[in-house]
Amino acid sequence: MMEEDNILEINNLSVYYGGLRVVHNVSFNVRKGEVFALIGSNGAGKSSILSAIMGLSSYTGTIKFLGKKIDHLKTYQRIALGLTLAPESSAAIFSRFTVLENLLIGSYLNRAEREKMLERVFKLFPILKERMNQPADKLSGGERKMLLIGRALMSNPKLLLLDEVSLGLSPLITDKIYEACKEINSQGVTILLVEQNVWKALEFANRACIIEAGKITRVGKADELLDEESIRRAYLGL
Amino acid sequence: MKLIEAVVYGSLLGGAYAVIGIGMSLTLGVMEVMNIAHGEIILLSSYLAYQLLLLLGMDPLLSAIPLSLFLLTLGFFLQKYCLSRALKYSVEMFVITTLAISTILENVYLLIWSPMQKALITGYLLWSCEVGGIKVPFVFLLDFFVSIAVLVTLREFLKKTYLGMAIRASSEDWKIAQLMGINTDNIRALTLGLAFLTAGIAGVLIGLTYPFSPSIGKSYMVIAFGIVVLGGLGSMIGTFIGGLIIGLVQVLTATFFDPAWQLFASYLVIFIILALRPKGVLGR
Amino acid sequence: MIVILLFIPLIGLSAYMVTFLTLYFIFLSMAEMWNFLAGYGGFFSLGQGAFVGLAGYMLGILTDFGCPTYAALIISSSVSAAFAAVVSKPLFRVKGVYFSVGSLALTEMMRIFFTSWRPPWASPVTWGGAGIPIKAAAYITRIEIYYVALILALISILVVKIALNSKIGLNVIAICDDEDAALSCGMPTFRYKLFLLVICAFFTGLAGATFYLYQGYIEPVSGFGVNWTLIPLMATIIGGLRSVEGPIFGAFISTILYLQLVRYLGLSLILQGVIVILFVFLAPKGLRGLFDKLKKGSGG
Repeated sequence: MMEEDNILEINNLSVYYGGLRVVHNVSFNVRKGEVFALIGSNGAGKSSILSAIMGLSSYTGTIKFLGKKIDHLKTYQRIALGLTLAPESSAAIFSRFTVLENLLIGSYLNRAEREKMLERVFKLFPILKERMNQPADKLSGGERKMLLIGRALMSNPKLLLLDEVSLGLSPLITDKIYEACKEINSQGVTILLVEQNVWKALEFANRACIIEAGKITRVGKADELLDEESIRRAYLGL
Repeated sequence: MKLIEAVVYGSLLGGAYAVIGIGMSLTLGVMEVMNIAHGEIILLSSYLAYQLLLLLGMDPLLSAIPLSLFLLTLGFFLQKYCLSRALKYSVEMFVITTLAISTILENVYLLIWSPMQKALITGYLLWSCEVGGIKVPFVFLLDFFVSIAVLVTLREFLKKTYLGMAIRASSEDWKIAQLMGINTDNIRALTLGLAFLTAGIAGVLIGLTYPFSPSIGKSYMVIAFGIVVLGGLGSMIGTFIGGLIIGLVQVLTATFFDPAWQLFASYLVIFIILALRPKGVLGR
Repeated sequence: MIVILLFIPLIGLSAYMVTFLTLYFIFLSMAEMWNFLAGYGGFFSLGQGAFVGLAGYMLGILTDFGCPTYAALIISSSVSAAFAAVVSKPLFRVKGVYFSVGSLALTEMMRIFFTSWRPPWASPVTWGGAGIPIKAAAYITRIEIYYVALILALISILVVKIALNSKIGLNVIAICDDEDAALSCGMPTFRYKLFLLVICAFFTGLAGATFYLYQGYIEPVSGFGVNWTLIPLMATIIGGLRSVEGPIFGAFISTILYLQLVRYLGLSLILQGVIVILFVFLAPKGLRGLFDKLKKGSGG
């Protein structure tokens, strides 16, 4: 395994939330072009890892993106490198903006490409095109999730972080969104996702790791993890 | 008749006040702080325009352009390299620093220009026109229409340009704004710069309309605060209405009660609204 | 130490020293009170002038009508305290920056009121922008004022120290740190905030009245001016916001600046403003913070 294949390298990452350590010395790598899942129950620390990667939380340890350390960079500088995040909370949309404005601000750093990016997002999520000029806070939960992902795509990222895609959504909408994510991945975007829905996550991902109480307990290929007895019992209720 | 006249004057004046308030609304919205020295920055523009008029015979409306640009730059760099450090420490430190700046400026003005009132006197101040039987001084119309122009321009800027959207995004949620790649430090600096710019325009307008002296700075700041309280945050229309209310209260008090109490009356209204509805008449 | 201070005028120290110390005690008292309200309570009032000016004017009015001086002092301060109680309800509805500017707006309102209002008994040359004389000033000696100021300062420090260590003080700090948490514990927060404001108003008013007793006249611009906020603010920030001892040193600087530049009041205020800014950027935790940092740095 060549190091140049890694788009993201996490080394001894410990994340702090209000002075409390919520993630303990976590290390893993994400390869270019793959889908990597962080799975675990609520409060395990998964979202904190994403937050640290984006520079929104204080942490110790090293994070390398495309082989270069990014720890000293502020959040908006990391976006410029090709990292982006679709946050978990549907409150993360700009509720006083229209759907279109939300998408446009996503291409703040690559305005010249905005028409191309918009087309791409509208193809993935046609409902967003329909609701283009509506205020964003009028969207349903599923539509908001689509908007968050679409907005994150507008910056034409190399690595997309997805935080809790399925949270609070019906299975039907969840499937729809995962379909779109598969398409996004096939377009060459590496995906690192955080998911409580272990089944869905392992179905979609190439590799995954299990986080419990801020520590990694298992890493491996997704389909192997899916077959494992202990995981099936613990997370899939089987 | 007197009532109609008062209403017309009050409305026109209120329009001018809107320009005073919009700067405050921007900083409060984006940075969640108020610049205590806002009034003194307005006065800076008035006094500099006065000097330019005195020394170069430059018409204040003309000098408003370089003055505004100067203040835009001043505000930007002040926030970027100086005030941001105070703000990072705490909101209170920012308030304390701007209070100190306010005091320093006020006393510097006292030293340089004395407590005597000054005014921007130009030929067209004597013009007036008849509208439906009421004599309207040209200056009032000027104030009103320039104010509307400023508000409309600002509104378009905020709505249509990427920078403007970045400002609105930062004001709504600065963490998510950062996720868009927006450099929120620069946006805050730009916001203060814009606040200073509008203060610059306001300084020239008010200087043409009324005499000014160093101690008026505080009043301007309270009025700006009042406009934000009355009109709510983040809405141009709200700011405009806030200005209108204050203008009307002042002129009506002056006409039907006593001119000496007009400021007091407007402060009273502000305080009452602040106490009853801290989110303003129009809310956010 | 206190005994020494008590006997200073009797030793026949120069009038300048007496004046210096009188002003020092007045400023110290104001600083302690502002620190109590802002540093510990978290209420950054910019409107101390309201309490000072109101008490000063009340002193003038009362002694004009023949009220004995000491009684007038107490009554004037009580008026300030009552005023604080009245405006507390609306004022505490808003927090942070809104509170700060709101208190400033309130003070401005007072200033305009006393500039424009002419009571029925006003003589043609007094009131309005010219202000009013304080009759009592003519009948009191510098020494007496000195003692009033001294006692005022001592009581102020005592009150703050006692309050901080009592239930009230601890609750106030808790409210400052997290009011929602305090509320959810069932604390009647308003009561404590009110208490804090009223105490601050009373003693600030008393200090202000004492000042105007010394000065002999009061007019609206300086009576309700922002200098009554800036002086305690500077004194407090030099010592560090949450320390009772801090203002003791800071008020010293305030007094020096005030007296040396009394004819150039503007210059004194400019300097104080500059000092405040310097401290915000170089030593936001005050001299104590700086001292601590230095100690840490030298491996102490």
